[in-house]
Amino acid sequence: MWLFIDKTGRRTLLILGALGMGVCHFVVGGVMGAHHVDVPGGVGNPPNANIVISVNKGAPAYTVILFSYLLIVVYALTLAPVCWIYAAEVWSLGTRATGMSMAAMSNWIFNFALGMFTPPAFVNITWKLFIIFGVLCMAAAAWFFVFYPETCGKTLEEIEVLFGNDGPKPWNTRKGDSRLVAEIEAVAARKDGDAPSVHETESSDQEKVAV
Amino acid sequence: MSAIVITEQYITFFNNPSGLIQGAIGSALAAGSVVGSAIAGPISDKIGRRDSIMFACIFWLIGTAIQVACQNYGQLIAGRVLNGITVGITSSQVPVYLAEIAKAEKRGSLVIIQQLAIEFGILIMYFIGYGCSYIPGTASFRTAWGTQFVPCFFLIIGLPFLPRSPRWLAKVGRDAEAIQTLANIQAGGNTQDPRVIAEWEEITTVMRAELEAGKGWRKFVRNGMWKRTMAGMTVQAWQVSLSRFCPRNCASLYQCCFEQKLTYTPRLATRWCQHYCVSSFPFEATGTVLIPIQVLPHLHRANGRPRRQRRDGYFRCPICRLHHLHWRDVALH
Repeated sequence: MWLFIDKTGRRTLLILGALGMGVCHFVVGGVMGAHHVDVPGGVGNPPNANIVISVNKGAPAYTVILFSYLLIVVYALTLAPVCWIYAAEVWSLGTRATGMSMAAMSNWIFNFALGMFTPPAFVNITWKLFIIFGVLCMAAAAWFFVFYPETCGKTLEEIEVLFGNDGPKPWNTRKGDSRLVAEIEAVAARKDGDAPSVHETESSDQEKVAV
Repeated sequence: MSAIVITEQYITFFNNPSGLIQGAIGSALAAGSVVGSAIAGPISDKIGRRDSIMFACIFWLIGTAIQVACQNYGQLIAGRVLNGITVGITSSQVPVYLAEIAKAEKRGSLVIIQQLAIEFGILIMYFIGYGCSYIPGTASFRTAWGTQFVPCFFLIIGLPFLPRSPRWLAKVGRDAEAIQTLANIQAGGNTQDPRVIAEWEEITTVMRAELEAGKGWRKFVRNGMWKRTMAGMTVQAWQVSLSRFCPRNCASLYQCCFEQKLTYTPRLATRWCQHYCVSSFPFEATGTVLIPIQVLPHLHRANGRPRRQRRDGYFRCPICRLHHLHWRDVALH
């Protein structure tokens, strides 16, 4: 994963990941919807009352397993790591520590809510729950597209600008394009022309701290 | 923890905790992490990213000591709440620290290392739990919990050698140190390197602009920053919402697909799967490959020395709910 995380943009990974997961959910939900058998008391012996439908054998069952695995693979390669990176890097210096705390809290709250509602939902609407999650994935992809600017390859300070009122629209942002590259060249040029002045700024900074 | 709650030693000593009590023991860590992540922000701004991690270690040492010495489940819960505070602080501030010290073009891979480390930590802990299950008496779980001191010890020793975040140093006005740290990270210590100067100017310019933008919570909403606040929080919410169902659906599906009975119950393996799949982290794909390696020793044990059977007599792995776990099924796992 960390071989390509900084080469492929965050937006790309988030959007494609959400779309991929959505497709997997739809396939699983669709196949289950078409081929399931109702097991009113719960599957298994003794019955597990949390699961009241069953896909018994053959191609439909294998399809369901395959796409469930694919779902995890897609998730592990995209959303799982990128969401942590993104949450850490969007904040500015003054807001980052508190912001990351808020993000972690939001993670925990949703965790709790989903833990509460998923089991009863699966009992009551069975395979349709997969369709709901599929739709959520699609909504997430759209959400990422509209609201999340690309942060890959930029300094934390440039990311700040992306969110500002004068910033570009998120869908027009590209990875890399770091303003820093131009600034490095500017500094290098200035240094060649007027090296002492840069040095002075530097040392006056140090003096300020020493005092 | 999940490798320990199934040992006979634990069950006997804590008088077979179940229901509410086991729930409280289990969720004590989560409760602590909520507190931890709530206090993490101000602490990290006050004493710095690196030092807030050091501060978190104190809770870990106390919490672990309480757990190792515990005489009843109340004490165990208290210890786990304290450990949870550490988890809350570190899980939110380590990404902050990593993102701030990283070079822009390497930031993603650096932040990911944390997730990778969490993964390996869990893996190691399962083997420790498994090994300790052979120790008779209460020394079994006390030793297992005692090993929690080890990583914390190394962290405390190692942290002072790590640089402070240059951006935090700039924020509190320790400019010389900040420039030196930037130079160490970017240019092998050369403070005159154009990259260092350019990035330093960038940091200070944006910092000044931010100071002018206002104080307190206004920073989170003014000048379009509500978009950022929303992005940072929703990205985590989406991650949880979309992922929470994957392990669960696999869980249900396998049971739908295979209906077989199980004579023995490798409970450790069961718990392992449960933990592995229910926690959401990025390396589930790797995990799928690793599961067979991890399950094998437990299987061997389950076959060689029948242990406590689950009351219902079934192996109910939440990912796959395979009822009869065979070698080839393990590979399928």
